[in-house]
Amino acid sequence: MSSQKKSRKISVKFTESEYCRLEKNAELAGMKLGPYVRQCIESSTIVVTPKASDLASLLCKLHVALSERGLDDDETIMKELKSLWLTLL
Amino acid sequence: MANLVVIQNEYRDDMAIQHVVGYILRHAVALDGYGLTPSYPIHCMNGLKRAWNKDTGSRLNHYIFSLSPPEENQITINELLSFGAVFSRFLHEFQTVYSVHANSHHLHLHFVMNTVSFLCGRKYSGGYVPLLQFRSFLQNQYPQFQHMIYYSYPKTINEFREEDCEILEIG
Repeated sequence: MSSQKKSRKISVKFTESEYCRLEKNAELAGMKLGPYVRQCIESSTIVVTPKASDLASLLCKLHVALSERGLDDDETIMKELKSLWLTLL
Repeated sequence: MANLVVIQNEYRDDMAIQHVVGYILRHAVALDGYGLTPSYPIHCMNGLKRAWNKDTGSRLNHYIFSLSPPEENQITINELLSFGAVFSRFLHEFQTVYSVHANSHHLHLHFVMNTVSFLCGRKYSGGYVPLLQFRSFLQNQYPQFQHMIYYSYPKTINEFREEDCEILEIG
């Protein structure tokens, strides 16, 4: 089961402009998207290895940061984050 | 009396998050979360588990904070909801979703916590420390109330009855 997960590839459906918006929102919330996540998103492919945990961890921290800044009701941000969560399912 | 009830169900089945979180969403009169978006908590919790390959074992911890009728009149729904945010901060690295229910004779707050840390992927092993911290917080904020911690062993969450609780003598 776990070896299947490691070899499974999933797509992240983000256009360049959508990614830029996510990055901007992340910066606004005091977060920087790490190089691995950036690479994953830019190449539109994530290999589900333990590194997928980087993305999950970042998403959680982003939610906390957005919530603390009162931005968690922004529909655009939430829609983008939801897309990313769905890639992890 | 304000009761913090620890539901003693290990929630080991694959559908535990869907069922329990689904239940607390269905009857919510107010809802919020930590480390996730309350409008899709099931995706976020399952996504985190999959990402860390920790989608086995105990899936969640479930707590209920309930107030007796005289105390209900002294606390607003938003204040009750804010207790969830405080408890989440004590847990610090775990996703939580919490909602206020008014579907029984007591106003109460359901609180569900993902057992996987979003910082490092470890499973929760904090025991009762955050519970005791939370109770201390409540005791300081509302010294006029008596804050008790209980265990409950329900067959299903719908059958939860306060009279089934067994007092937990800690702290």
